Formats: sequence, C-alpha cells, structure tokens
Amino acid sequence: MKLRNILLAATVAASSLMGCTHRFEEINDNPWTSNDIDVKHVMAFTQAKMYASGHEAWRSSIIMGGAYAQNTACLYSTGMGFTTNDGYTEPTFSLLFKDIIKNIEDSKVRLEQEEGVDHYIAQFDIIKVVNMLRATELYGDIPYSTAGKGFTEGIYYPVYESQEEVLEMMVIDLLNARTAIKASSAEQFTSHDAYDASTDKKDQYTKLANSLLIKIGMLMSEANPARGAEIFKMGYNDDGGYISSWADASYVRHVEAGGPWGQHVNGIGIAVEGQVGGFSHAFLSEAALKYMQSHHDPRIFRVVAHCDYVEGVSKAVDNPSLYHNFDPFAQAGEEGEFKKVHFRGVRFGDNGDGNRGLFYRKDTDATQQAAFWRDQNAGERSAYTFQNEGQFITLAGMNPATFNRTMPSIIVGADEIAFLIAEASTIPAYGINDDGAFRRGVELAISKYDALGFGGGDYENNFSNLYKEQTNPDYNQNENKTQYVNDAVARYNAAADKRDIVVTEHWLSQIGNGYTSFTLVNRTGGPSFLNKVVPVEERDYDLPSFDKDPIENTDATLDGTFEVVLHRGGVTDYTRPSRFPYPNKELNANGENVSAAMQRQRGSISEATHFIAVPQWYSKK
Amino acid sequence: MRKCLLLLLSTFLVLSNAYAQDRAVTGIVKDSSDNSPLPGVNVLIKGTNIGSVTDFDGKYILQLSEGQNTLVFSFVGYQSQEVVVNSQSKIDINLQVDAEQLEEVVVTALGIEREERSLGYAVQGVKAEDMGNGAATGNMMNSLSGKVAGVQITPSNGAGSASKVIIRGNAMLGSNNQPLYVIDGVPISNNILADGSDGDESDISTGDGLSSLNPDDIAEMSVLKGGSATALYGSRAINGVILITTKSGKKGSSGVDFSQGFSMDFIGITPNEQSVYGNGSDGRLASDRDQLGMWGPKIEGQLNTAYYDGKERALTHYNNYDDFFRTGLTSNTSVSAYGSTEKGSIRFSYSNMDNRGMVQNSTYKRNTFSIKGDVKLSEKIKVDARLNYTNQKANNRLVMGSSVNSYMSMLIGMPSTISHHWLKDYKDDLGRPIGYTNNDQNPYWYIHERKNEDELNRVVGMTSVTYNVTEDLKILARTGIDYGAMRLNVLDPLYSPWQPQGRAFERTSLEMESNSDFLISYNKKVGKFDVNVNAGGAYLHQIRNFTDVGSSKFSSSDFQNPGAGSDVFQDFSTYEMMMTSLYATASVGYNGYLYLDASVRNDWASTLPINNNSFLYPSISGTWVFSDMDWSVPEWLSFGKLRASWAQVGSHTDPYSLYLQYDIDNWDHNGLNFGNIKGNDIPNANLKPAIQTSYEFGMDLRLFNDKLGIDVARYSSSSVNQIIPVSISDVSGYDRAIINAGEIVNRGWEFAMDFKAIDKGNFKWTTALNAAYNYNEVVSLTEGVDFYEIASAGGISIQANPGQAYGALVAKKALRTPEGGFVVDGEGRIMQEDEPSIIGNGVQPWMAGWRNTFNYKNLSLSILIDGKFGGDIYSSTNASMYISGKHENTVAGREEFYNGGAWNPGNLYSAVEGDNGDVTYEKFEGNVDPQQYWGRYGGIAEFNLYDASFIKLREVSVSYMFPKQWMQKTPIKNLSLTASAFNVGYLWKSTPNVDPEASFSSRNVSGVESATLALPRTLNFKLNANF
Repeated sequence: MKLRNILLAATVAASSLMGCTHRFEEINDNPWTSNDIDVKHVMAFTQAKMYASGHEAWRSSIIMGGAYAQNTACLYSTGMGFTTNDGYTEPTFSLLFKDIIKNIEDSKVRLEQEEGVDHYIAQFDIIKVVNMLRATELYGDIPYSTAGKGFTEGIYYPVYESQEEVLEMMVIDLLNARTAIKASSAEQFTSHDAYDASTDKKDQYTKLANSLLIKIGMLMSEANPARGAEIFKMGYNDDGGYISSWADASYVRHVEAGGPWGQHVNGIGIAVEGQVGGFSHAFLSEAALKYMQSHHDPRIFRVVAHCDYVEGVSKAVDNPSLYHNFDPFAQAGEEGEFKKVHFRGVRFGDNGDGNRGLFYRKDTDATQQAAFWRDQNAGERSAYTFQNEGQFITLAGMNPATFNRTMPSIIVGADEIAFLIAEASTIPAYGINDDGAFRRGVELAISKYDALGFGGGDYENNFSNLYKEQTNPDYNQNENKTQYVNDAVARYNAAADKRDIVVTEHWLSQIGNGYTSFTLVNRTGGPSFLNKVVPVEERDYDLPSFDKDPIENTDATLDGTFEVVLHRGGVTDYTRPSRFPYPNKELNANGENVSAAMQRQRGSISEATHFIAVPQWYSKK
Repeated sequence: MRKCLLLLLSTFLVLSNAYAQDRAVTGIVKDSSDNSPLPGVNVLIKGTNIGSVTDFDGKYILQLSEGQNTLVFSFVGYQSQEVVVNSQSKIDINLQVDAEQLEEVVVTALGIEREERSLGYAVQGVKAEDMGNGAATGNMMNSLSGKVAGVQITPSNGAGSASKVIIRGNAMLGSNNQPLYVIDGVPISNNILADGSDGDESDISTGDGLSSLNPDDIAEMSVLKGGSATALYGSRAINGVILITTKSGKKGSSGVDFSQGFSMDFIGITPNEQSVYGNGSDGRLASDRDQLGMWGPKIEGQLNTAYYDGKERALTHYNNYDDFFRTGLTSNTSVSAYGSTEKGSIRFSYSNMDNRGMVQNSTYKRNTFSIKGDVKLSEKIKVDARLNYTNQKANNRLVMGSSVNSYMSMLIGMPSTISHHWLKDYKDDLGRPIGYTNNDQNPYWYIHERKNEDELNRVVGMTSVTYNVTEDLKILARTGIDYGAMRLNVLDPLYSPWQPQGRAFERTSLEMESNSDFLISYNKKVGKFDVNVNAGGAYLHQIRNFTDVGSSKFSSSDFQNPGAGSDVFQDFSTYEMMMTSLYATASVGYNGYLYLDASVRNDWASTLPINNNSFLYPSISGTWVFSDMDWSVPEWLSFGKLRASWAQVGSHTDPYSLYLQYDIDNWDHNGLNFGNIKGNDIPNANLKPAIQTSYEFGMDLRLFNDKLGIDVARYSSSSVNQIIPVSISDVSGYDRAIINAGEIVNRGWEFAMDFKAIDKGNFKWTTALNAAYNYNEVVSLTEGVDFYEIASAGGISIQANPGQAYGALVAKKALRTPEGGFVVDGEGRIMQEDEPSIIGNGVQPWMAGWRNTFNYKNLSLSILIDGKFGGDIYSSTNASMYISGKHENTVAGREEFYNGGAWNPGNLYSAVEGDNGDVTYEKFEGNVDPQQYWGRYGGIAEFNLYDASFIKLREVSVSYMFPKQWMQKTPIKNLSLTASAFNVGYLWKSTPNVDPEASFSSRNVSGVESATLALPRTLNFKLNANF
C-alpha cells in the first residue's frame, strides 16, 4: 500500500470521526424535559407544593410544630423533648426554597419580558409572601430579596436579612401586588390557579393580600406593635376587604394523585393517615383535649378520634357499635389517679412512662402505657381489646376522617383573621375595637370543616349521636355549637385578660396545622396554661400505683404513686423552642451569612443557650 | 498472550540459511512449565548465523557441518540454552521461562506494545497467578489490595458488589474517582446502578463494571497511574487506567483448563456490647416496645415480661451478631478450552459462580461465557475478536449503610436482651409482622418476605483488524461494545415495617457503550535510533436509559407488584454523550538506553458548549537506562533507569448540564397540571473543559544480579478548572451550581521493592514491599466558594475545603470552656457549638503492602500484610451504641447513679451569662444521669471519631503443584491445589467495634462508617487442572 493510500485512509477515518460531531447538540438535549414551559403550570405548582409534601409535613407540622405548640402531640421525642434532628427540621427549608421560591423567581423573570401581565407577577409576589412567611415564622432571619435567584441572577450565597426587614419587604411586595391586581380586570386572570375561593380572582387576591398584611401586622405584636398596627391597618382598612368568611378564603384542594411523595395530596393529612412511612403518632395533647372537654367543645366529634391501624393506614375507629358508655368529654385523671375515659391526650414530655403512662403495677414492677391504636395492647389480654376496656386506654388521635390526604389546605383562614382582629382589639397599640371579631372567629372555627369540605362529617354525626344515645340523651350537636360560641363569648366578656381567651380559641382552631399553631404560641406564649419553661414539678409524673392490673382486676388496690420521668429538658434546658435550627447544609454551604444571622439573632445570648431556644424577633420574650 | 506476541516477533527476526551440511539433528523444544511444545524457537549453531526455527509442534531439524558441535536455543521470554551435540542426532530440551524478559514487553495505552525499559512513566502489572483469591466474592479488583503501590481498594460487602478504587489519591472533586477499565484495548462501562448510601433509603450494591466478569478469564492487569501513561485515553482516564488483558488460546497447543474454587465467608468484626445492664430506661425494665435502649436494670437472670411479645423470660444478654449471620458459601467453577493452528487461535471459557450469602435467602449466581480468538486472513491481515456474555442474578443482596432494611442496622438497634432466634417467629396468622419495635421491625421479615432481586444480562465484545502494510507499518481498526440490561425488582409486601401499605417497583437500566478507534503505527530502526510513531482517532458513544416504575398502597395481598398499588410513581431518564478524539504519539529510542516520547490528543465532547467543546492536551516523557550505556557500571548494578514525564489530560462533564430544564407532571389536579424547574443543579452554558497537569520522576534499579529490585516514583498532579457542581445555599433555590472551579494537587511517593532473599536448591524466599504516600490538597475552589460537599453521611459532611486535604470531615464540636472543659446544660449534658467545623479527614495518605513468598519444591506459601495510615473514620455504630447504652463505656456511672449515689464524670462546666452577654464558667458539681450523659455524648461526632489506620493480615495462601510424574498416565498436564485465607484479621487498628476498612458505598464516601457490615474473613480452596 502506498503512503498516499494510507494517508487517504487516515484522512477518511479522521473525517468520519469529525462527522460524528454533528449530533452533539441534539443529543445534549434531554428528551425527558423541556427548556420552555408555560408559567401557568409553574404557578399552580408553587401554590400547592407547600402543602403537598407528606415527608415535610410529618416532620415539621406533626412532629415539631405540634409538640412545640402543644395543641397536638406526636410521640417522636425530638419534638416532645426539645432536641434537634436536621432530618426533621430541614425539609421545610428545602421545600420552600429549593422547590418553590426558585420557580417563582424564574417565572417572574419570564413574565417580565411580556406586556400586560403585571397582575400575573403580582400573583407570584403574593404566593411568594405566603411561602416566605412560613419560612421566617419557623426559622427567623432568612434571605428574602435574594432568595431563589441562583439561576436568574447568579446569587449562590444569599445574605440573610433580619426578620424585621423581611416582613417590611413583604409588606412592600403585598402593597405593590395589591395595586397591580386592583388595576387589572377580573378577566385577565388565568383559571389555571390552584388557590381556590368562592369569589372572583381579582377579589380573591386583593383580600388575600390584605389578610396577609393583617397577619404580618399581628406578627409584630410583641416586637414592634406600633409598626405592626400600621401594617395591620393597611390590610384591615383597605377598601378591597380582607378574608371575613369562608367564601373569601383561599385554599388549595388536594387530590389522590401522585402518592405520598408527590405534589397533589395534602401533606399533613397523608401523614396523619400514616402513609409516609408508618403510623405518625398524631395525637391530641392533654392540654388541648382537657380544655375542649371541660368546655364541651363540639369540635371534639370532628377533630378527635381513636385510631385504627390496619394494612398500614391510620383510620378513625368509626364503628359506634364498638363503644359503650361513650363520653368524649370525660377527662383523664390527674397525677396519682387512673380514670377510664374514652379520650385521653398525651402529656407534655419525652418519656413514654411519663407522657402516656396509665398506672404502675407493683406485681410486675412495670408501668402500663396507653395504646396508640385500637387493640394495640390487646394481644392475649381480652380486657384490653377495644370493645372491652381498650377503648378507655387508647390515646385520642387527630381524627383521620377529617385530617386526611384530600382535606383542603387553608392559605389564610377566615377564623384566623377574625381571631387576629379580635386579638388586635385587645392590644391598645393597634387602636381598633372590633367587638364582634371574637365571636366571628369562634363561629368560623367551628364551621370551617363543613364550609371547606373537610371529611369527617359522618363521623361527627355518628359519634355525637352515640354520645346522645349512650351517655347524654339531651345532647344536640348543633345546639352545642351555638352554646359553645356563646360560652366562649361569655368567657371573653368576663375575662380580665381577654387576649388570653382569644389566643386560646385561636390556638384550638389551629389543631391540625402545626405551623400556624407554632407561630401563635411563639408570638404570644400561647394560652396562659402553657409554660415557656417546663416547671420543675412537671418534669416528673406520679402514676397511680396498683397492686395489680386495675383493668383486668376489679379488686386491684390503689396504694400510692410511682414517680416516672416526664420531661428531660432536651438541648434547651426545658425551655420551649422558639425556632427551627438552620439546616446543617446551610451552615456549611452558606456558613458566613448564616453565622452573621445567628450572631445577630443571639444578641447577647451566648452559645451556652442552644440556638433553638433563642427567641425570634417576633417571639414573646 | 505474551507467548503469541513473542512468537510473532521471533518469527520476523529469525534468519534461516541453507548451507552444505554433514549431519542432521532433530528434536522438540518444550516449555518447561507445562511441557507444551514451543513453536518459533531459534535454534542456532553456535558461532554462526546458521539456524532454524521450531515448527508449530516445537520440532526442528538442523544440518551441522564438521566442527559445529553446539546448538543455542533462544526464544524471547525464555532463558537461552546451549547444548553440546556430540554424537546425538535427537536433542529434546525444555526451555525455562525468563521472568525478566517477560516483563520487558508491556501493553500500554491503546494496546501499544512497548518495552518496559523504554517507558517514562510507571506501569505496574499483576499477573493472574499473583492475584490471589481476593476475587472469591466476584470482583477481581479486590485481588489487588496491597499489591500495587498507590492503588487503594475498598471492597463493598457481598458477592458481585462494587469496589472503590483510587489511584494516586482523589483528583476529582466530583462523586467519582474510579479509574477507567480497558479490556484488550477497549474501554468498558463502569457505571453502578445501585449503591449503598447513608439514610433510610440506602441500597444494595449491584456491582460495577468489573464485578460481572469472570476473574479466571483475566491473564494480567496493569495499572497506568500517571498522566503520561493515561493521556492517550483522554478524559475518562484522568483517575488512572486499569488495563486488563484476557487469556487467549495458546499458540501451538490445545488443551483444557479447569478450576474449581470453594470459599467460605465468615462474619468479620462485630460490636462488643456491654452485658451488665438490660433493656429499659432509667434503670428499670422497658415498659413498652418504643424503649429500645439498654438503660435498664442489671442483668441478673430475673424473670420479666418486658419483651416485645410480653412473654416471661429470664433477663439475659445475647450476642446476636455472630449468631445471626451464617457462613457464606461460594462455589466458582471455571472451564476453558483453547486450540490453535498456524492461522490463529481460539479460547472458549465458561464460569459459574454460585454464592449463598451470609444471611438466609441472599444469593448471587453468575454465569459467564467468553470466546476469544484471532485469525490471520493473510500474511498481512490479522483479525482479533472477543465476546463475553454474563448473566447474573442476585436475590436479597445485603443492604448497605443505616437503612431500615439493613440487617446490621437492625441488630445494632435491637436490645441485646432479645435473642434474634425469638424473632424467627416473624409474622402472625394474618401475615402481619411481629417485631421488636412499635412498627414490628424484624430482620426475619426482610429475609423471608421482602424481595429484592436483580438480574443483569451483559455482552462485552470487541473486534480488531490489523493490517501489516510493511514490516514497519501497520494499521489497526478496532471497535468494541458493552451492552448491559439490568433489572431490579423490589417488593415490600403489605404490612412491611415502614411500608405497611406495601410497595413494589421495578428499575431497569439499559446501558450501551461503544468505543471505536483506529491506529496507524510505524516502527523503524534507523541506525542507533528506534522510531515508533502512532496516530489515530477514537469515537465514544454512551447511552443509558433508566426507568423506575412502581406503586404503593396495595389493595390485596394477592396483587402485589409494581402496577398493583393505587399510588403510582414513575421516572424515566436518559444519559447520552459522545466524544470523538484524534491523537498521535511518537517515541524515539537511542541505542537502547535513551528514549523520548511525546503525545498529543484532542477531544470533542458533546456535553460541552458547542463552541467550546474541543480541548487539546499533550504529554512528554523521557527515559535514561544508564546501566546500558557504553560505560562501565559497578558489578552490583544489573539495571538502572531514570524516567521523567509531564502530561496534561482534559475532561468534560455529564450531559444536559448547559441549560435550565423544566418538567411537567402527568397527574390531573382538578383540571390543573403542575410544572416546575427540573433538578437542583444550576446549569452553565459557559463551561470549559477541565485540565489535569502532572509530572513524574522515577528510578528503576535492579541490583546484585537482579536479586534486589527497587522502583521509586515521585509524582505530582494538579487538576484545575474542574467541572463540578459546588454546594451552594439552598436559599438560592438549588443544591449546586455547575461551574469550572478549583485546583486539587496530589503529590506523592511510590516505592516498590522485591528481594530474592533465598534461592538455594529447592527453597526460595522472595519478599516484596510496596508503599505509597499521597499528599493531597484542595488548593482552591473559586472565589466565594468555601467548600465543596463530596457527600454527607451519618450526620457528617464530607468536604473539600481550600487549604485542606480532600475529604475533610465536618461536624459540630462539643462546646468547651477556654481551658478545654465541657460546657454542659442544667442536667450535666455536654452542649455543642452552633456551627460545624473540621474534626478530621477520612482519606488515608499512607499505604503499604508487604508480601512474602516461600517456595519449596512444589509447595508455595504466600503471606500478604498491608495497611493504610493517617486517616480518620467517624463511626455511627459507636455513636448509636453510646446513645442506646450498648457501648461498654456506658456502664460507667450507672452503679453510682441508680443506687442513689452521685455520679459526675468530671471536667464539666456550667456557663453563666451576665447581663452584658459576658459568659463565665463554673464547675458543674451536680449529679449526672448516665443515660442522659452518654446519650448526648454519642450524638457529638468528635467523640466517635477514630484513627482509621490499620495493619492487616490480608492474605495467606498455600499452593501445591502436584508432581508431573504423578499425572504421567493421565490426561492431566498440571494439577495444583491452593488454600488461601483473605481478610484474615487485623494485626493493629484503633477503631473499637467496627471494621475501619469496610465501606457501605463505592462513591467518594471515605471516613464514615454507618452501620457497615464488616468485611468477611474468607477461606478459599481452589483446584486448578490443565489437560
């Protein structure tokens, strides 16, 4: 072969190789994705995503939020015990910033290149405030102005802004958004919108913006009530109105699709149903339950139930025929006392013997704990079957008939706004006096389950009837609802500390929403019967001591008490946490900015106080 | 393979002449090692250039004239032999293999054959017979542990699992520093479908590119370490190359090789638990199943019912670890047949590996078929081809890490007053699990009810055509394909703990990699100059299609499959890239002692921006064999060589890294469809190729008539502009940003020595030592980027930080007073700092291996000791044991505290905050509850950080070659029996309760132990027979 031929062959071979590059651009285009999208799909995503993660909701709302706020109780000791677990407190941070805010910012940039879509951008701004408000309520200082702009503006390490600055920026965004929405026509709004309401979109978003201003104004009630009052009034006095009825309220409807880790089911609900990795231990706290029982709260038939746990699903025990002498209002005994009652809550503590111990048995040197679900403790002990005595030793759960994967998520509740107005009316700095707000709040709180299509209506009917049949023939659920409102208003009118009554009812109304419950308690300290620091005398618990099992033996004798540990203090030395910690990844990746934020929020408080015990700007100090 | 090459060379070199002769001498020349005929042996009449060459049967005939009385038999690769003829007319001889000569020709990048003496960089090879039996679990790379300087191998657990292989330190910041595997000149895929990780969803290891191949097909493995060695392989070789040469048919002979191996895996290191206190809390027995700690009363055999099933038993401590795991058994059968003619050769092999894992229902079966052959179509055209087919099926491989499905994780979390034997009654009459936790966790549920099956069908093939244009010029065209289809099926049936509603999914991975290249080679000796020039090009195409479909929430136990649940999930993805390359290399040798090499390569990658996807990189190396110059050297110096090289290698990135992508889901949400940005990496349309620059100096000495050999290498590499996804704040909206950033340097020494200590009669003792030190520093990332998170596991962040070695372990430290006392809360529990800081480094900079081989007649004993030094390991097992009260140290304080006395471990201080924020410290004098103290102690990472250094008796092997006379009347040519033990035990280590070497992942997760099952001790027996 001649050299010429060889060179020719080599040239052909090399040319062939180079020819292979013509598909380079084509194959570097992912066939499963697109480089373009209509922002309407993104808007719906950013609206629903915050409420649709079972993974996140189980951790933040049920484990952490509920226990921190104490209207519910989850038996994961991280929440109950004031300890930290990045895996529990990080998901909300990740959900809000990595899943939602970047999509909002990206969509806004895309919309800014179009004409006549100011209202659309305004909607995104309001959605951003909805999401970021939760972020700052849980974590304190956050980046607001630069968040979510990693791609759009190349900001990889956003600076943290103080909570006060964040709230002020939210106010500006809301006011601008409200102006843009008011200037638009109702026909301009897309129907591809996951925020539902019974009003038109223009009215809906105007009222949502004003209601958020009211929320922000009240969030400043402890830190800067004067400024809080100004912001409050920006929403309260605006001619566009605020959310005052359930018809006005924005909420997200959920569907069955997509599974527990998707973006369509209700995250809190699917976690309550135990479908995010197992039974979620979503119970009522003893504090909330006893308050409801002592005031004959009619919602007890809607929000409380015993749990059944069959085939991996937590369902309400909804068969009335299993019960005898059903009395949901009978309260569990105090220390040293064992009572057979149907609904018993979880005491505030991180030790099993303490928070759900029923009694101590001398014969076995063991404590008996309440059952999580129907027949859990039955086994070979017939007395412990639910149909027998088991119904008296099973913990009261968040009712899965009501709190489930398709329950709606309320963006801002009509009851919440009413309670905030009622509370503002008790704070002189706010300068308003809305006498009817408290009544409206209680009425709206009671009516919301039917108004927004929560489940559990049948359960409420069946069990209120059961109570009537087995225990109280005079009972009438509808009358009791009216009575409860009247009683609450009477308590309010008679109270020296009216704000405490408002906060207490507000607190009860948020059962099932750990985020808003936590924020309320963190801001106000919660109902006066909650303690900021677990008192020394409440760190142990005296169980009644019997010579033998009092459930199986009617002749068992009470012969004193047996002290068990109730609370161990966690990392905060018994102080109720005021915040979620920043995620470990953020401490590493954005260390300098996070460190500055932590130092700023610590003020003069040293590292000897755990950061989660450091009050937020809006916290009650 | 070597024989074939040498035969070819010899054939070209031999001169044959016909002169007048007086008498004829005939005979057969054979290989002394296996008594096979040797074709192509030069038979010369001493003092003349008259001679002959043996034919295919090793036969020769030669005419001798008067006065010619001595024959010289020579063949490359064998020791020459002189024979005095005298009156003999038939002379049969056996030639001895010359190991030194065999080493001289090595296969380098692209399959280019070079004399080792001419190389300007380090190439270290290991022949099949020296690999030992580390591959008893199926992955040949494990056999190289401790045998090659600078190569760190971390096996995973279980048959057919992946191994982490790091050559000369971590050079790349990304998640993978694995080398490129090249088999018979063609790269193969080294993708891993499933791997262990930390966390609840930690997975099994489904193996890597090498684990599905038959170790008995491998003739030799060579490790190319430096940039000059690997530059011609381009970007994929930036972490080094493992060149694998598979066995071929033997020229001039035919036969059958058979081997049967049988190995047993015994459980390795298991935790030592305290056995003084039982389960419970606060010194009392547990009253419920959610109390899994060992903080109960003293174990005194007291009857109690504090068990998950409420039965009454005497309180006793059980060692569940050693008892739960059984002996793993593996059978390896391999048979190969080979034959040849003058036109070519062929080899066929079949192997069967059948493993019974260390846990019930855990199995791994692998069948491989391989055919390899070559044929000369004409005097100038030769075709080589190879085809491997693998079918492997695994059932319930061991889940790695701290997953809820990990047996080790379950045993660590289970109170040790429960015997695992009780849990064998693992389900009730309705089919629901009965377990020791509230959600009925039970290892036997997973053993019997959970399904985790995977199957791989893989075809690896290649063919090449070589056209010898002239004696000096040849053209090679080669193409290869690696196609793998893997299917993974998982079923968590109804009622499963953590998946009570049931879940099933099927993952499939269809993967294809094709490599094609051509090479024009020119070799010419011009005077004292040897010229070798190569030029060629290559084309790479990778495509992976991945599907993950499944569902959860089954409605019936009769229908439990990926499509049966009401909550459906699905994921589809594709990975496709192409790269074309042109390259050239030239080598000039002068008089056999000076060599200069240079190469240049340009790549075009589809993954880079279209206007910036071309990158060129050169290399140069030089060699001086100073012992072979025309000057006198001391008698003790047998051979001496200095070498130096400098090289650059470029690299690209993964596909789809340039532009933002959106996704839309298919679920109807009341008439709405949701869409969002896909992924959490910020793309970058301005990426540039990364470049690694390296240099190397080395010296190769052989002394005292080759009794002592020493090889020393000094290397340095710097990788810049790496394309990495750096960790950024989640607040940015993304996890990572893909940028060009960073510089990592690796500098190190490698030392290898072999010494023939004794060679007397039938007894030989050879000792070989290799050692390496690698200094690694992350010089920079990019402005404003403080760290790169390599991985996170067990609550520890593994990072690359500027100014630090790669692999820093970062966690929150204990809060201390200025004097070093521990700051505690009101209960005496140690507090932690707000922010994390570096507590250690998980990469071991030092490694060494020492091998001693003793031969006495037909008996051979080999002992390998190796070690790694200087790194740290965080042990989540120890952390968990402190928290649960299982750790032996947690006994401290209980006696005093539970009996009403005081306990204070000392060095504890309370912080007192003044009104102005000043803090003073007062000694904490209060009593401390040991359960609270040790519980907090276990949660602080620095207290569970250990020196990961170790010295290990890696391998002991005894081989016996049966005397040939015993087989004279049988068809067996050779018969040998080997007994070996692998991972025999640690001679020294600093990690209590855990195996410092065991890894739960083959990714860059060094320095974290997470409920990791220790490497098993393996006892292996292997019978080899040649027919």
